[in-house]
Amino acid sequence: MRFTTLPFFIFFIIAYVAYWNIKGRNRLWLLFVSSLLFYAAWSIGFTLHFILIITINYFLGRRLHEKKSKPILIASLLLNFSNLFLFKYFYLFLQALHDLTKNPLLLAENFNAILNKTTGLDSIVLPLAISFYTFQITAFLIDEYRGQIKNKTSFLEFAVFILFFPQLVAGPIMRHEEFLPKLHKIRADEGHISAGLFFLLLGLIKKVVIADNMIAPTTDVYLHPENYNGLSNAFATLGYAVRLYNDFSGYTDIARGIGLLLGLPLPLNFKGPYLALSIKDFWRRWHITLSSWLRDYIYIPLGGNRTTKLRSYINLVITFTLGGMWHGAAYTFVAWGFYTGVTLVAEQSLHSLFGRLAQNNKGVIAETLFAHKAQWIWKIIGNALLYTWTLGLFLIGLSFFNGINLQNALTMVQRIFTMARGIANPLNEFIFYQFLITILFNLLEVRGKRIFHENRFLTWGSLCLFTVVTMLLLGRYASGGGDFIYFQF
Amino acid sequence: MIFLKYRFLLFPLFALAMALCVDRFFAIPAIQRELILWKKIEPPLYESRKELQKQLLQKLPVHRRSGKTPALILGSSRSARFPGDVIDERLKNSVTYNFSAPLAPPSFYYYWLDQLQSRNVPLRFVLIEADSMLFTNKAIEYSLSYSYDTGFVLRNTIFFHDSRSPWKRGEGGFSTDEMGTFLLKRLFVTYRYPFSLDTIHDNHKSLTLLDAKKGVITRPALELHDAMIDQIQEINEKKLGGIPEVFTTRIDASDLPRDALLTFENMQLKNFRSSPAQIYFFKTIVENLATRQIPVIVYAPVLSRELRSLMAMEPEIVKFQKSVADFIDEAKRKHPESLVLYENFNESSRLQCREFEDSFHLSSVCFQKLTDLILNDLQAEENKKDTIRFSPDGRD
Repeated sequence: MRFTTLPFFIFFIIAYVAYWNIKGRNRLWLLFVSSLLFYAAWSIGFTLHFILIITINYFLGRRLHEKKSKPILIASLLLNFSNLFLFKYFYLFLQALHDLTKNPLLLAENFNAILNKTTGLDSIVLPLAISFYTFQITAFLIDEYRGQIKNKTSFLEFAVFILFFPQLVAGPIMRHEEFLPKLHKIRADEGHISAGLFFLLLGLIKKVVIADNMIAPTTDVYLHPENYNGLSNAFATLGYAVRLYNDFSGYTDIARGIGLLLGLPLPLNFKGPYLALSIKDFWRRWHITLSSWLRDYIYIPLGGNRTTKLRSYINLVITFTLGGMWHGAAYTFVAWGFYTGVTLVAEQSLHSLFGRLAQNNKGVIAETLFAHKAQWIWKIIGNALLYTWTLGLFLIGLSFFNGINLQNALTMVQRIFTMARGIANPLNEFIFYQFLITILFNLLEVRGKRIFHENRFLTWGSLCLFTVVTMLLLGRYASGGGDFIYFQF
Repeated sequence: MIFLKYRFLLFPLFALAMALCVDRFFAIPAIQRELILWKKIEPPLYESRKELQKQLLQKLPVHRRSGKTPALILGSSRSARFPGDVIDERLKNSVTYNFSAPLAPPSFYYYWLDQLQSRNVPLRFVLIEADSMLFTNKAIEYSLSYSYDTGFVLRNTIFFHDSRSPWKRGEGGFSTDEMGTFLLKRLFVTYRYPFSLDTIHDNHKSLTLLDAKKGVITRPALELHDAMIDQIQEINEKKLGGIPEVFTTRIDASDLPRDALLTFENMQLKNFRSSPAQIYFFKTIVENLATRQIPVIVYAPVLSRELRSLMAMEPEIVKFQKSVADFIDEAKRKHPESLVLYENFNESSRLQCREFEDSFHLSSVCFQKLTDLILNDLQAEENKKDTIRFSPDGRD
């Protein structure tokens, strides 16, 4: 069920009214049942598969809680990542084997023909939310192993934690401490309800009004970059950046809004990433829950930065390459992850280098660059350069992230850097204006703490007006819509 | 009750109720009139088909008495040009109703077929279109906004995911997303008639026109819109459907290549993906009619050479066209006693007339000849079937 459809709208209203009219443990049962229904609307078969995964992991988690056992931890990680590998990475694995051996049997269509003959299935279908729930379950099990979860978790609590429908399909990826304790402290809070409605409406605007209308301006450029000039290729990456941010942060806003309406605040996932002045800062603002997961469960166990500089750089590249693979089973995602890791390493190296230079030439720098009157100019120039560096590198990465294959992605990058000739996309200007609106949303994320007035009438009056405006905007700009981008992960 | 104790829990529901009340304001006909751009004829055309159906049902006893059976033309604006009076003059025993509407997809055809069959309306023949443009996801937009009813959509929605090829599946229908979009459009008027200040402004502009009798005249845009609606009503009454010729735009032949490129890009022919729902409805219509032995003519609209060249470079379109032809062949084999015709004159020399209003609309001057060719084929096939049925060896 997509959030932007009428069936979900009706489903949520019923769930909301029922939820606040029951108390205690029954509320958890309602969340459990409604989340199962939400998933079952996509596939009943895979719902059964999901329940099996949850049940097995619950019992493994129980064992880990009772006894810190490495074999059980390894078994649980193997189970979950095998499940993920089979459904998500099998075809990539097959493709890699085919590319190495050139054996035609390893082509996906031939494999599928055999699969169809033997089982009747046309292909291996990717279960909805598998990437998200695998990471969430894994984090829980590792935290149990590390002894970080003090209280025993009941099956119902664990199931609700994994299945919770607002965040199930595209995050935020939750940690146990961000959710489980709240299940016993659900209170009707006016601030939560008003904030919840606000985020729900904002998310709808971001997704339906902005993101969905960015599909047409960029699709053909990504499919046929060789036809378009360098500037249009560059604008296509900017357009995709607008679409990706509004789609994903829009989903997160809707998820957080629904969570707040149910008295269960979800963690922040975006914090104005398009305002970042360094790549390191960017990844602290973009998909925050994934970045922190990768840091805590891959980067730090690999040694993090508590090792030699070279080793820490290697750890960073490995972490981001795996992060890229998490997004999708294609060479382009691997390339994107690797590229992102390399840009981070490059930035850190440059930072060290300039840091040393600055240290050695402090006096000169202070006199020439930071003389009183000129200081603000240098700050603006400096920030502009840093912003261009950060956004520019991210946009180049998006040639891979959304590229249909490596060849297309490289063609895009080449055409951008050589300012190649070709067709000019007539929607470049439109893309730019959408980007400006996106910057406003980013500013709202960073500076919008005091959205709500102390005057209750003013707050609710504004929200009623916002609801009407949202309805008019959705009616005007709804394009028929597409799936949320992160649903495919 | 917790809602009484914590009344703020009701505020989101209250905000929603307020939005719905504001939305109802846009259902007022006088307000709706302001929200439809004056030159946008699709909403009144689609909505006029209800009146056409009413007309058919009212006149059915009269047709029966005069020995005439209704024939249906179900297509897009390309099929709106078929001259019903010429068809009826030729066939003698038919009265042709043209339910065609701009960019109407097979689900729209099936809706009207279903509506009439459920009222036991006999049919002389049914002509439907099969063109890749009508099998895209975009093609359903108008009909979801201005056609169907809730019961039809719910009955014909598929609720489970089926990854098999739509040409091989038995089950099918609207996706849950399409159903959801339809229901949203029924619930919120502003979803069907979006609020736009630009539209309101344009509707109040004065337009300068050239009248054949009066010369240069100035009229408010909304007045022209009302005149268009009158013309639609007139053509429904006098010509039993179709689209008034005055609504067509003609481009120079020299602009055809550019128009073809724009059409190719804007109509989702570039990077073509067929809609499983429309394939299902198309198959259902052909199967339904073949099973009931009602002659079905599948018409592939004649397109300009420039547009066909672009489409020929799109592998998914080539694959789609082959799938349509294969399906029709299979339908003929499965129902040898029925009449299933596939009329595709795009590569045929039988239709010499190749004048175009734009890259995907054959000029109305060619429709006389086109209609003759189709009727020749229909009558030839019917004679063949009759010969087989009444052969001297006594086969029946």
